[in-house]
Amino acid sequence: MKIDKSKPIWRQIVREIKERVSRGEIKNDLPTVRALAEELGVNPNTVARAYREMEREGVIESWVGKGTWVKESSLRDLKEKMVEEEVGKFVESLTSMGLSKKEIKKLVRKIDD
Amino acid sequence: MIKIKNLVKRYNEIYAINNIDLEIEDGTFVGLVGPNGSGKTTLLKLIFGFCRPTSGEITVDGRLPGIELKSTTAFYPEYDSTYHWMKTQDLIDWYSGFFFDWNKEKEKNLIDFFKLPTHRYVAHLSKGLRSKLKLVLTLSRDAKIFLLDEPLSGIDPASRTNITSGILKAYRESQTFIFSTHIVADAEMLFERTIFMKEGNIIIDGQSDALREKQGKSMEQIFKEDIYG
Repeated sequence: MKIDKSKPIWRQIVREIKERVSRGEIKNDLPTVRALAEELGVNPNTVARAYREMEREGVIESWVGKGTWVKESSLRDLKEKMVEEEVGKFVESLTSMGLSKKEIKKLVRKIDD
Repeated sequence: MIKIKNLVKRYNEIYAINNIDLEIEDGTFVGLVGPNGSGKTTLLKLIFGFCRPTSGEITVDGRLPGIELKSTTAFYPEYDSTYHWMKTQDLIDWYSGFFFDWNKEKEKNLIDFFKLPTHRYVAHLSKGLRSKLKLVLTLSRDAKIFLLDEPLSGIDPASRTNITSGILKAYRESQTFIFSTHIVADAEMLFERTIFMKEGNIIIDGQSDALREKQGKSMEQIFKEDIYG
């Protein structure tokens, strides 16, 4: 994972975890806060904050002594949600450049060919 | 908790610390960032009790710096505090005898992690290995507060990550770390909170991620553009 130090690190960790889940690299248990902190070379409290945020969003669950894992429901939905989010951003940036939704659709169809 | 109020340290006509107010909660990993001569070392020395304030007050858990606090505070000095005529392990064994909170397991883990040769004379170690030895001497304790003065100074860029990883491994979330440096890029991801100093004053102080969010800059960029500039 490449971390951009000019943006909040905890947000990038949230994104990284979600991507790992969508790619199927994390199937159930999340790494411990300390293991991930050492892997990424970041402060464990930053990882803990990312986990807290994902727990608040309902993506993961944790129990003291049992660890942290991805919720069954988010294993299914996460990829879909992330793709939707990305498509949303993509459409937004193109409309801000003055393209209509019709034109965007046309462009996307072109990629198919 | 470390509480600092109206702190001034003057050396003759030079103000090393120019009226600082600061509070640091237990279990925070703080980066103390500033150019040479900005007062970082003086601030760490004052917290440790190596020197006394000209005016103002420092308390740690309500107590003034002194012998009692030294027993729960570990200090990593920038200067070479090792004995060159001793062998590495002998020096570590001798040094550990001074502390009730010495953790033998941490010592072993750190020696392994830094690949520190234990049966060579300190005089024969490279400067980088001597820094790692000093880190073993500092971080092997189960102290409450760790004051690290420029642990990256004199370390070549390729070895800096090894040093910061070792510090990260030794760090426990209940401990307070204050890590002074003018080399920011290699260490900033350890800092939950970053305090920028210049000419004896605190210029910027905040949660690192909040500063990133607000300014769209890394701690290194803030240092170069807003503190140095």
